[in-house]
Amino acid sequence: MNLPQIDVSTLPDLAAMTGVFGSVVHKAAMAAGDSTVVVMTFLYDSRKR
Amino acid sequence: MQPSAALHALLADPAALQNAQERHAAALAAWRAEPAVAAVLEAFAAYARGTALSALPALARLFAADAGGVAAFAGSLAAHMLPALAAAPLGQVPLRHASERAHAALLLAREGDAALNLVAFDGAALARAADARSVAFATGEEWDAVVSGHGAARLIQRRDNRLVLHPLRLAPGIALGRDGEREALLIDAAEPGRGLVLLRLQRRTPGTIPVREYDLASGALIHQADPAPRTSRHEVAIALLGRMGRTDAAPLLAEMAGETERGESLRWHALRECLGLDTALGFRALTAIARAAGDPLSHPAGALRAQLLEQHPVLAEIAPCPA
Repeated sequence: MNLPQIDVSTLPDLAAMTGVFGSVVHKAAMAAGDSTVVVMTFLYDSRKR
Repeated sequence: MQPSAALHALLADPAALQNAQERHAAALAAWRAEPAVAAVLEAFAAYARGTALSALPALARLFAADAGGVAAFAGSLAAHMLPALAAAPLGQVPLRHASERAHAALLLAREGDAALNLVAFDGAALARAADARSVAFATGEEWDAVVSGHGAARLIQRRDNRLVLHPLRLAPGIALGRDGEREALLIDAAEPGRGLVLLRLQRRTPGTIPVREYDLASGALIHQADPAPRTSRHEVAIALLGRMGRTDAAPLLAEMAGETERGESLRWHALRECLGLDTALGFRALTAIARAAGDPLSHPAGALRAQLLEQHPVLAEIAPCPA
């Protein structure tokens, strides 16, 4: 059986895409919201390593 | 920018630098050792391990309405750290901190998925900042107690695909508890001059539910993000294995794609890369997911399977996984 090579770029994404941890569309959602500190801590840890 | 003479002097004398740092470390240790503070930090550690806040009086009393204890708790930190800062202004307070234009946060304690922060909002900077256009919800519980100052906020509740906004006045004595998946707090204004200082306790619920960002005006979902950095790291690793053509990783990717305890986005990502690396293995994994009743990916997997079969009829010859 000679199977085709599938090109990943032709495969669909899910209807609702999920961005990386900490990503937002409007930065203000982070600035005054609750997630800031979680992301801040993560960035700090990443930088320290 | 030229470093100041004081900085030059400090950099030239490592012992002075170390002394400054030791002074700050000693001040922090003294604060942590205060009986009332030690009790809060011990309760926080139990909270981080999953104990309900209501079962931890030393911590819960800070987040009860009309509790005066929160100002005393934050005040004792200032009482210990400010003299150290005055004596060694170029030393660094050994607590993690971050500042944006309108707010600054000081991480007082962190363990597991829990964090205790002091958050200060600058009234003038908040007034200059653009109005929030969206709000994000993350699973977990969140508690805020006003330490000092006054402010205006909106408690936003997510109900049946719409957002319900409740304006709030914040003042000392006010404390709020929230279910982060359904409720979020947006700080809109803080007292000019004095600002608004909150003590904020958060405990994230580990899991796969993404952080969801909604448009404030329309209530529409505009973005979702991985709830934990680990998931994003996995996604990056999966993409990299795909680009490197690492066919030896295909069985692992097929396995990950089938693990329903993982997030849908990560599983889909693993499935796509697996199909690119090993057509037969990927197609078997795709078929298994498409046929798994109750799997949230069953429907998109079925659609992709039909699309691939139409493009490549030869795929119909791949026998399903014997398992």
